[in-house]
Amino acid sequence: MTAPHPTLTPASGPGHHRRLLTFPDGELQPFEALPTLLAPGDLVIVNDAATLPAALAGHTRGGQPIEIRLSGRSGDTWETIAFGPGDWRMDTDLRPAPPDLHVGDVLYFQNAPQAPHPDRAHLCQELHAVVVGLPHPRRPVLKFLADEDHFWRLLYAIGRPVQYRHLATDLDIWDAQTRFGGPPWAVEPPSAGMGLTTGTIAALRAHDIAVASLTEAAGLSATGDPALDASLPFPERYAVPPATWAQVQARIGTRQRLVAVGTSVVRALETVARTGALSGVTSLRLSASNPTRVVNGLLSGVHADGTSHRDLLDAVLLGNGLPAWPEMHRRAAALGLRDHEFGDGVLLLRP
Amino acid sequence: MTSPFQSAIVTGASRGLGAALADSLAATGTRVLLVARSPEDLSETIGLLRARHGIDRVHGFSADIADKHQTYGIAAAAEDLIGPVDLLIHNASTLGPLPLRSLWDLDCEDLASVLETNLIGPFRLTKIVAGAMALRGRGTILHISSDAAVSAYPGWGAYGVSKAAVDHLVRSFAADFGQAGGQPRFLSVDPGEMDTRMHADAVPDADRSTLAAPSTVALRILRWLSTAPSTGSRAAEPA
Repeated sequence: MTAPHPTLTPASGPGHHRRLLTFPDGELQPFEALPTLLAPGDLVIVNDAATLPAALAGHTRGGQPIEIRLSGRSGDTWETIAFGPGDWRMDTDLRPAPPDLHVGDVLYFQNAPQAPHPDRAHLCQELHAVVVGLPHPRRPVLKFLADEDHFWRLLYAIGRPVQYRHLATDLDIWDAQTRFGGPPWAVEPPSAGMGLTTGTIAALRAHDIAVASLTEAAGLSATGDPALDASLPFPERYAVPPATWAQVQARIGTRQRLVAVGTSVVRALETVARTGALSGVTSLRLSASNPTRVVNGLLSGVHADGTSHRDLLDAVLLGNGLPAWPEMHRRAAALGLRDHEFGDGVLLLRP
Repeated sequence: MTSPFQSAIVTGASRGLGAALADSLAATGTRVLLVARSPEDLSETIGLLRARHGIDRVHGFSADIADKHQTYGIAAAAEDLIGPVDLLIHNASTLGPLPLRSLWDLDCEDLASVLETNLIGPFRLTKIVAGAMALRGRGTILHISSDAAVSAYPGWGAYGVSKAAVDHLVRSFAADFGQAGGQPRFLSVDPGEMDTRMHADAVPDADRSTLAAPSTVALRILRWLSTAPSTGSRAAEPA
């Protein structure tokens, strides 16, 4: 249980060829083979959240640098995590603490100093926010001081997607999306869905495999504070369309499987199964001791040990009678699979 | 006429045909996001339309459609402000440098710039929006084209080339998405000559009394859309 696992290779970034390691059979398949790996009547559920440029660089009124990462939205306020000086290339755990904040403080965000093109400097704009809550020194709740139309333009002009240190170059907003993203709810990419092209979706449907969607505000995976990290995943907003839930319910207790694309989908579906609420905010934490009840399959990345995703993988495995994760991780490493976001994938399926 | 569309994005919407399309759509109950480059012009048009149709139904996003870095936010704003988009109208266009001139007198960069606004920019916005439409199984993407795409008028080369490319982009998208379920639908329409600033820029000495009003043309275009033309279709001056 505590034996060290072989290290998986970090992925080089979006755009490389993705492969799927299927379990329980342990075979390696190209991602495009997905329609042949499922059975007619199965239902694939994807998260259609688009990824926000959730990282905002700015300063306090006193000029102290601060980086805010949006972690979730509640009406017209945003929950956030605050970071001090430095940028994404510094290990999250090694970033200095943010400046002291107080309710009523105003924060000033602007375009990153390295503007993409110098001749667009005239587009440099500022977005201001006031701290309306401070449940923790590093978790300011912000209200942005812009009307809603201007807010979205400024957020996309000034914000950057949350970056990943193991990637060689900056992630552009274009690279941080699935092909079918809609509502701008996710603060980190729901990356399990990034291998699905419109062609794959059409091929699934052509094989009589249904495809439905829900929206889940996939959240931050790191806060830079060990105590805060221990409480991940934070509560996340979700919304399951009634038509999607009807397709789910029709399959519960049958041979037709419910296959979630990504852990964010598992979280949303299992919340509805437990509470009956098709939308809201979920604080559900799935694990080996709180396994899944309705999800029968998971398409996901090959996540490293110690992440909050690992608990959710265990929940799906245990809930469907599959071998424990360490065995699968050994198989993945032996095959040279690439882990973390933008790596290869695993397909766990109830036999 | 009630609209079959719930939410629409219209580019180049601060005046002319774009503003008229946004106005006509809003009048039928469609929620609209107007996109235009000038914040001042856009704000004025938004104000007018909101006075007519209500604050909730009309929203704006100022952006240069040719700029890749300004494109992504359009789709995000639309999803949040007007809900899942089922109609995208690519109306924003540039003629290139004025007065119009022969291709011989056009700088290479000017042609590239016209293509960037009229072809590549719309291609980018379509890429962002079409996937969600395909997943939902519904959506329409309409390009405003021109007779200059079909006939070669002297001096209209840059614009005409870009619109000819747009027409084939529509057919090509329709072919690609036809392989993948058939939604969204891709369409183009030649609106005919209209009394707009773009027309005045291109043909300063035209007799404006012979030109159609954008509001009239907008209604004709929406009527054509309501006949559910098949993907890949092009209409020229719908009645």
